[in-house]
Amino acid sequence: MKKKETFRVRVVSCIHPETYKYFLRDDFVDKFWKILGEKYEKKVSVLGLVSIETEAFIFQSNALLNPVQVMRKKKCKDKDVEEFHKFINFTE
Amino acid sequence: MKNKMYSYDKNYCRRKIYDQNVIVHCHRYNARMISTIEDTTQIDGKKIVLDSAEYSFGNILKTAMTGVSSKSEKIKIASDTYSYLGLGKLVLDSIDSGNVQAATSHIVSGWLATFGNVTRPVCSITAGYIRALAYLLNGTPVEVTETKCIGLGHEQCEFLISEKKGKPLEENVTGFTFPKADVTGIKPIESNVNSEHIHNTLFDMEFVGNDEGLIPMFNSYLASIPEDFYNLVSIKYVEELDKIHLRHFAQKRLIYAAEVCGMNTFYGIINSQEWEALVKPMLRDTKDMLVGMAAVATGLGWGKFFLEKVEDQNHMSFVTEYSYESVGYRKFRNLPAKDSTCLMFRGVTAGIVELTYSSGTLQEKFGTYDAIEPTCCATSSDGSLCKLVAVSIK
Repeated sequence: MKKKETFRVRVVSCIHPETYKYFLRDDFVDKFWKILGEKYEKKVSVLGLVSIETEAFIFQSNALLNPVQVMRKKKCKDKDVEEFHKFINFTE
Repeated sequence: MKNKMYSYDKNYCRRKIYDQNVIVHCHRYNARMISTIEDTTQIDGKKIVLDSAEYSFGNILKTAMTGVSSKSEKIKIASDTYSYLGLGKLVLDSIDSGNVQAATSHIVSGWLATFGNVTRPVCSITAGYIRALAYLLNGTPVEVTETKCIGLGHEQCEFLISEKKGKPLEENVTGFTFPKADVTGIKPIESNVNSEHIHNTLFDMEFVGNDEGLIPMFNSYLASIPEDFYNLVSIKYVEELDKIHLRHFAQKRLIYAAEVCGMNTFYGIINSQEWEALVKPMLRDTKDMLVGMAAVATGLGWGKFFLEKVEDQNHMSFVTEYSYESVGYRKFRNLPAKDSTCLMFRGVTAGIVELTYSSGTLQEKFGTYDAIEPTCCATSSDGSLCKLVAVSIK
């Protein structure tokens, strides 16, 4: 059976117009959070939302850990987005 | 430091930082409100914003620095507090030589999100904050000028501190307190939403700036800004324009700013993961959306705000108790207000009702409801309730 590929849906956000929810491949979700969690602090809010903040992005999800809302920070550049898309194996 | 800084008062539905009431608004509203005031050419709007920021942030910083004698420690407190509030990141290393920088800015983020571009320095709130800090450090009032702004493409905002003649800023505080409301017969509409749960959850949450000194929540950048700031800018804006017979113009502009942002910001809120986690599971019908939005507003420290009645989708009423605008008016002015003071609430009421009941795109929804305030407790000395009524004008 063909694995469902990563896709994204645009989200209304006043933080950045290019805010999306990325629906990761099921077999990549745990790996995604593990790899990021090794380098950055993983937080869980009172609302049960899981988030990791890097220099360029804020990644946030509910307890299911997928989809992941990705908010671009001020420092985020095109190359950061390219690297992120490569990391999660996403192409438009 | 976190526990010492933040507290809340469930009675008045207020969030407090260093014991000063703060209101949580988003970056778009803050930018639009400041632009409304500063870009009104008939008055010196920038002075209103600067002075109000200096006064209100001065009170927070004064409390924060109680018992602290070391200058370097005071500077650190000021820098940490600025970021904690979600205003951005201040660089205070050279404050003694009259130079301050800001590496990030809540207001610039809001300005760009709202207007698309910045054509002049816009960080008057920050300049007012620095004025307050400089006075607390050195005991003499100063002037602060923003010479570079991130919004204009500079790497960071830069501020120049210079000498200022005159006395320190003061405001008359009346000491007026509202009597407890008689809430007989006034209660929230029955709904599927547990508003108290939403209030409690939000009040239990500290909103803290991240490594950029910004607070990304509810699909927006939030900031905690002193209640006194919002009230002083609003009161003085209306008063200054009243002097030249433009009172209603001033009120309409402030209502408009709140309505635009009420609609746009709450659109972001109801599409946020925070809303999904906290409110969405309780929603069963249309009015539940309004109940949920009002409960979130309460949790942001605006005062108790609830939907009272829905006559039909063309006419509905809300109630606020100890709304920050009516309380603020009587705090700074001895006499009862001439007319409705809850201009932000009027705008937001119209905005959220439009979002919920009107159809089409956001642009098509906008302006389809009007919100009046038939009862504002600031216009009398009885009780603490204000009533807001939204009526369809399509």
